Amino acid sequence: MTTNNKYENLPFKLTLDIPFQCQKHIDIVLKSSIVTDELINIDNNIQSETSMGDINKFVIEYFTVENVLSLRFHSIDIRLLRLISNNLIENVKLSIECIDEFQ
Amino acid sequence: MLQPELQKVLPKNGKDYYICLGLEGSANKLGFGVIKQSLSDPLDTEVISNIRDTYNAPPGEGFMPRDTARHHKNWSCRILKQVIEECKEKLGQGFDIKKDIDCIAFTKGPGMGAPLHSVCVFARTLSLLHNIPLIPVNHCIGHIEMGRCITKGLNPVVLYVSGGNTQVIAYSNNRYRIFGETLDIAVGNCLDRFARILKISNSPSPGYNIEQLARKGKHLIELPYTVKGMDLSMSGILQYLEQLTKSFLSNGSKFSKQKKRKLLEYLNDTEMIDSVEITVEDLCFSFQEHLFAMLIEITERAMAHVGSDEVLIVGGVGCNLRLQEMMETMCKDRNGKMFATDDRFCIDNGVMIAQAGVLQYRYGYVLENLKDTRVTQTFRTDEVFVNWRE
Repeated sequence: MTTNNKYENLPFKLTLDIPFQCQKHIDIVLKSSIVTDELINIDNNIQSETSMGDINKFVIEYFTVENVLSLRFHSIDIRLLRLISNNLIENVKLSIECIDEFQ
Repeated sequence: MLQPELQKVLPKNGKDYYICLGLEGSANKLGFGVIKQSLSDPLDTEVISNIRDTYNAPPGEGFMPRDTARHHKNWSCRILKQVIEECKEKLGQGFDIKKDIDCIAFTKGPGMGAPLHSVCVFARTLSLLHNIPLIPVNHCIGHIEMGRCITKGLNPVVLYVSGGNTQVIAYSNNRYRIFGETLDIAVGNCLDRFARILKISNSPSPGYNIEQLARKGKHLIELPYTVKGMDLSMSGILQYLEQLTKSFLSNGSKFSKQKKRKLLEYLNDTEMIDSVEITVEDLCFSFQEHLFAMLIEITERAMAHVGSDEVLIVGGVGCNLRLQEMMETMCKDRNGKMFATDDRFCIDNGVMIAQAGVLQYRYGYVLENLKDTRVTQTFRTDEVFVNWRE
């Protein structure tokens, strides 16, 4: 992806690749724990098809390639990156556990 | 009673009852419940399953949002499994979430953000996975509707007292109106914080342990009493008692002669005052008496204002027997009736969320955008439009 240039002003980056069984599960996890809520500690939260956040502070990009959900975090400082990624991973974990147990 | 024209949604598979799963986790309690509500009467509800797990902090500490959220995340799946087991026992082995549950209700607010959000994520996943309608519910409305289920359709004044809320509520014109409330902290919070100073155990709940101690109390000491119109203020009384207790504990669990004379001044008998010892039990007793008297005062005023004879106590503090006793006495004087529930339905639980959720569902609530399920920490009781009552 040619996104690296776009968020040059956000130097701290993290990529998460989460493999899933099928596309349906990816949709459920995205909707239930990632895109529906506003990001914490971000005031100006703008959402598009493939990204969310504030381009001056913190952005998450998300896309799927062959049943793998890719999340790319771009952050202005390390603290914010740690806070939001931690929080997000916790929620994704709960969502996956729920799908695993009750599908 | 029933408004057929408003009954927009019928149960799945042509049944004559609704099955709803309620998920609650607005504070330190995680409660899941399943109810069966009859199609002909919204107040005819049978509890199929009601399971709760409480996160308790160590003595001397309160529960932190982060830890509470982690507790809820860890227990959600396990509790739902237990609930499903119970449903299978009572509704037959063929019970299946996807096939049988009409709607999933969860707490949208008010409460602590982190725990609310973890339950919300769980509810969303379950709903998307099985394509079951999702209903966001106001926590206070849940308490009121559960109480109404018990009083069977009367129109009581509701005293809602818990760890986070203190409100006197009555129904009028499609809203539950707040007649009086706390101006600062809630009564349960006040009790919890007092328990923290005394390092009383948080299990099963700080309020319950204070109640047990208070039963042994004999001497009433004078504390501040703050009722402002229909509202209350409790931070002052807590602050005062906090200072008092700290000096009490640092003085080897007793008061100096002078202090004792001042605290029991109203007795007007110095000799007797000097002969008594004030204990921790007396502190708990006096604290409870003062707090509850304030609550009874505003409730009585609300009853007179609305012209109602019935009172319903809901919320975690509502299972305090002393509060119920005081309310009973007040109601007797007014020829009224008092309703209260036991700890299964007083303390936060999933069943009450399910009850309120199914009412919203059957009278036509449809979630338009998943963003409407975002949790909110401030969600007032009178924001909800109550279309299921006349």
